[in-house]
Amino acid sequence: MSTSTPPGSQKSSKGHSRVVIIGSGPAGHTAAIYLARANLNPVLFEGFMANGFAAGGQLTTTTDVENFPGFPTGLTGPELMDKFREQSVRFGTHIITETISKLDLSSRPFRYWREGQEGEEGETADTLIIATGASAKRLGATLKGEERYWQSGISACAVCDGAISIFRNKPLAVIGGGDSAAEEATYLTKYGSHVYVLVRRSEFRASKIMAKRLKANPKITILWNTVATECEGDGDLLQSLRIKNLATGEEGRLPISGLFYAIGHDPATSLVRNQLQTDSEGYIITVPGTTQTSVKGVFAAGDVQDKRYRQAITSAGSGCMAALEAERLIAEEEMEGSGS
Amino acid sequence: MSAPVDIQSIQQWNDILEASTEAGKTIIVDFSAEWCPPCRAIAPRYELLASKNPHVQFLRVDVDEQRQIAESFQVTAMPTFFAIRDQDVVGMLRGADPQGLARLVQKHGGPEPGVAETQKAVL
Repeated sequence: MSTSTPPGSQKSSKGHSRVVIIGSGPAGHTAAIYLARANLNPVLFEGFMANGFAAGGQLTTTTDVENFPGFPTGLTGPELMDKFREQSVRFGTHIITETISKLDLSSRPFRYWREGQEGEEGETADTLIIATGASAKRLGATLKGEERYWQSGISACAVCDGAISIFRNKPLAVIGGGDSAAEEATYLTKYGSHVYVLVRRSEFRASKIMAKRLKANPKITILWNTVATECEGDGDLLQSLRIKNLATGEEGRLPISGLFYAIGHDPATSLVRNQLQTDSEGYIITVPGTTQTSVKGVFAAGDVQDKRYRQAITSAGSGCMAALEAERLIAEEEMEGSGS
Repeated sequence: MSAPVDIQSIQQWNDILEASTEAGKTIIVDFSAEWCPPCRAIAPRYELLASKNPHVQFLRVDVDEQRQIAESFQVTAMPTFFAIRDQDVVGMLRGADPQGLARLVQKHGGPEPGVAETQKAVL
C-alpha cells in the first residue's frame, strides 16, 4: 500500500460512506442524483427540522415558484422539493431523516455525529458535501415586540401560516423588496383582505415582472422607504405595526394581523464555522468556479456558499458541480490506492 | 395500537372531549394542515407518541377542514399542539419541535394506568 492511514482516522465501525451529503435542498438532492447514478451510494441527511426547516429546506416555506425552469405552469416550493426528493430516491440515494449536529474535518475520513448521539463513535465519510443552505433573517432587536408576537402574528413561513384563521380576511404585511417578498405578498392576497409591502428603499430589487404585477394588484399597497419599528397587540395577538418613512421621517401605524419577513438570509454554517474558511457573513468560501472548500474532500454547494444568486436553480447547479468534483476525487484516490 | 384520531366534525370533537373528560384522560391535539411541511415532518413522531401513550387521547385537526375549531383555539402558527385536561387547555407548543412535544405529553399526559393501579394497591 502506498498510502497509510494516519492514526485517529479510522473508518467508523458504525458506518462509513464514500460520500455523505448534508442538506436536502436543491443542492443536496441534485448532488445525490448525480452521485447515485454514478453508483457511489450517497447518503443524504435531510435533517429533522434542521435549522428550523422541514426537510427540503427554504423552499418548503416558499409559496409559488414560477421561475424554476421546466415548470411552465409553476408549482409550490414544497411540491418542487417533493419532486427533487423523489428523483433522489429513485436512483438509490439513502436518505436519513436526521440532523447532523457535529463534524470533525481535521483528518480523513471525516467524522460526523447525528443529533442526540454526539457522545458516541460517530460515522465516517471519505468526502462530504455541505449543502445546509441558509435561513430567513428576522428583524430581531430592531423591531420592538418581535419576540412577543413571533408566531402569534409574525410568521416564519407564508405557505405554512398564510391560510390560518387569524389572517383570514385581515390586513397583512410583508417586509422586503425582492422576489420573495413580491411572491409572498401576491400569495397572501388569496387569504388576507389587503397586503402591505414594506420596502426599505425607493424601488424593488425584484424582477420587473414581479414589481409590475405587485403594483397592479388592487389588494396590495407598496410602502416605499418604509421600515417597521414596533409590533403592537393585545399581548397575545399582533394587531398593528408602527412604521416609519425613512425619507420623510413620518411615522404611522398600520393595523395588521400578520407580518411576514422576506429580508434576506443567514448561511447555516455553525456546523463548520471553525473548520472551513468562511467569509465575514458566515458563507463558506469556495474556490471560484468550483465547490472546493478550504479542506480537501469537503465540497460546499447551494446557498451555504452563495450570497450572490441564491436561486433554486443556481443551487441545483452547484449541487451537480459538487457531485462531479466529489466523484472525480474519489476516482483519483481510488486509483492512487490501488496503484501500489 | 393507538393512532391519532383525525377529527371530521364539530360533533365528533365535542363527543371525544366529553368522553375523555369523563374517563380522566388528557387530550393532545395537533392543529395541522396538508400544505404545511413542518406539520408533515413531525407527523411520524406524533404517531409514535400516540402509540407509546395509549392512556392519552391523541387528536389531529386539519385547520382547513375544521376552521371553526381552529378559530376557537386561535391557532396562530402551524403546527400547534395543545394539551387539554378537564376541558381546559393546560399546555401548548408551537412549531414542529419533537423534544418539546415529548415533554408536553409527559408533563400533562397523566400517570400510566399501571402506575396508578400500583399506587392504589400500595394504599
